[in-house]
Amino acid sequence: MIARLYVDNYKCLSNFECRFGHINLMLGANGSGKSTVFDVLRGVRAVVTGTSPISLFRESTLTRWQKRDAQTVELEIAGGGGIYQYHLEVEHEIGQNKQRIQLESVKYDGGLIYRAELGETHLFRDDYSEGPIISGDWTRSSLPFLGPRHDNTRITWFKDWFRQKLLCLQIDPVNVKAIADEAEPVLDAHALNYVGWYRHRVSTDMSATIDLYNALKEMYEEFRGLTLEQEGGSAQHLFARLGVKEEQKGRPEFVRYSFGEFSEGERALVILYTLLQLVGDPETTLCLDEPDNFLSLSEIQPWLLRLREAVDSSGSQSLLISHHPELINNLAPRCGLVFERRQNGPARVRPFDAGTRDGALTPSEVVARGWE
Amino acid sequence: MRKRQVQIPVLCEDDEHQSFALQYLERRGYSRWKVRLLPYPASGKGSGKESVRRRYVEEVRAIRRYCQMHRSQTYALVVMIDQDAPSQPDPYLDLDRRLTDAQLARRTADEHIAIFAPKYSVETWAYHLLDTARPVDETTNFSERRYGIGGPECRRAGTEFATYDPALCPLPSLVAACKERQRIP
Repeated sequence: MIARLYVDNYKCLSNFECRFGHINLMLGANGSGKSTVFDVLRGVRAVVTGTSPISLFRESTLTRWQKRDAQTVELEIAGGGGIYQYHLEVEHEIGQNKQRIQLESVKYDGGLIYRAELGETHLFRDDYSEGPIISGDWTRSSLPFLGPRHDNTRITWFKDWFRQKLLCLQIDPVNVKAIADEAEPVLDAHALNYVGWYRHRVSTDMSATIDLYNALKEMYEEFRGLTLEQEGGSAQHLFARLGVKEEQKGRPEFVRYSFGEFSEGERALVILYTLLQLVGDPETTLCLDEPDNFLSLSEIQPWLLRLREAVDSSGSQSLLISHHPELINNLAPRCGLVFERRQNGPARVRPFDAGTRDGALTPSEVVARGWE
Repeated sequence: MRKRQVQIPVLCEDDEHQSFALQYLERRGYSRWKVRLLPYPASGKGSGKESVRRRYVEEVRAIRRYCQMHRSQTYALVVMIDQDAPSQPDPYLDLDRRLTDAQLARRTADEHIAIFAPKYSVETWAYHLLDTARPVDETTNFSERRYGIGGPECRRAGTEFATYDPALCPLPSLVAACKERQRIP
């Protein structure tokens, strides 16, 4: 899980530090820096996994009121039996929109296991002894190119965590496709490839589909199951089967609808319940930007309670951003992190404080009045 | 797709209450979609209790009206309120009085309105329900950290409460709650 994040000179995050628990609700006005935290996490993941070199740290992401040309990100991750400390410094050539990695390092329980400075990478073994030094391209990290070996299990865990266990999503159910050409192991930032990812999950973990079936059946009485059907070539199309009413006897027992025919809210809900299964893995960190979007009022609390329980019982982590009263009422008093900016200045974060002491107001009402 | 309707609103003082009540109801066979946890106030000593007292009247009025409109007795209300100190009024009598003050009839014996009122705090029940061999009383504050009782324990205690046999129970408030359980359809 992410224990600490430090960011400097990235949009409104200037000398910004935040510590996280297992479940966290990030709240605050629009433009207060909540989603920027997720942008940073996506950026670091892209660097570490090599999906996009350092292009997510574009020149336009430099803090506007700063004159410095270097950005810093530090992450502390608890997992793999210890504490990982990641440090990244990106230097910009102002006016050229060119970036390079000035310094990148990974420590495990305080000992260095990876260090790259201006294109020269020093590798270390699990016992912290020095390994080979390699020269590379300083516009990208060397981490994606390191293969797993018996003596670098820690750095391999670190990379795998970013690739498989950290999910940073803002679900866009409007544009989710119902057909997938192939199984996809990684869900993209807007869950647009949900069906391809679901296809991958079905092929690797059948129990996941059973859990999802049970969750959806609990929610919708007429739900009978999700099926993937061939759609020419290697493509597969996701359908839902729904039972028909009793008075329609003589007709088929169920009808099927394409995932594309679902309403946006139904699609979002199916995706959210699928994500819940990931939180059962203690190493998962699930970051969701406004998961309540598109959901009806009655749909939010049951999902949220499931999420809390899954996080509590597995020891995984969830970072949520929301303005919704349901989430604020349920989470803010325990794990609310209030983001704020004064006069377009740097973002700052503090624990939720109900402010008023007369106690009559619900947390969402306190927030609605700006009294937090 | 047609969603399930809420059948049981739950009126609580705090998160521990909610955890306990939700797990109890789930163990009784009510899915999350049939239960609605009502928000409690953000802060303030005693604010949760005052909120329960205030909202109780509104919730009873709403549930009675809904049952009448739909000619159904499958809807219920669960209330959790602590009995903190001997000086405080008996919660059953107090809540009844609030109904009559609002020109509503008292809670009848066959009404699906269950009031769970732990003496001191729900942590006391949790301390006992999770290990019935432990010595327990209704004067010690078991919500203190040293007893290791928090949200997860209250959750597990809620599950235990669903099947708990009060025959040898040393906690009168828990015995009373077991009688209240019968009000849930």
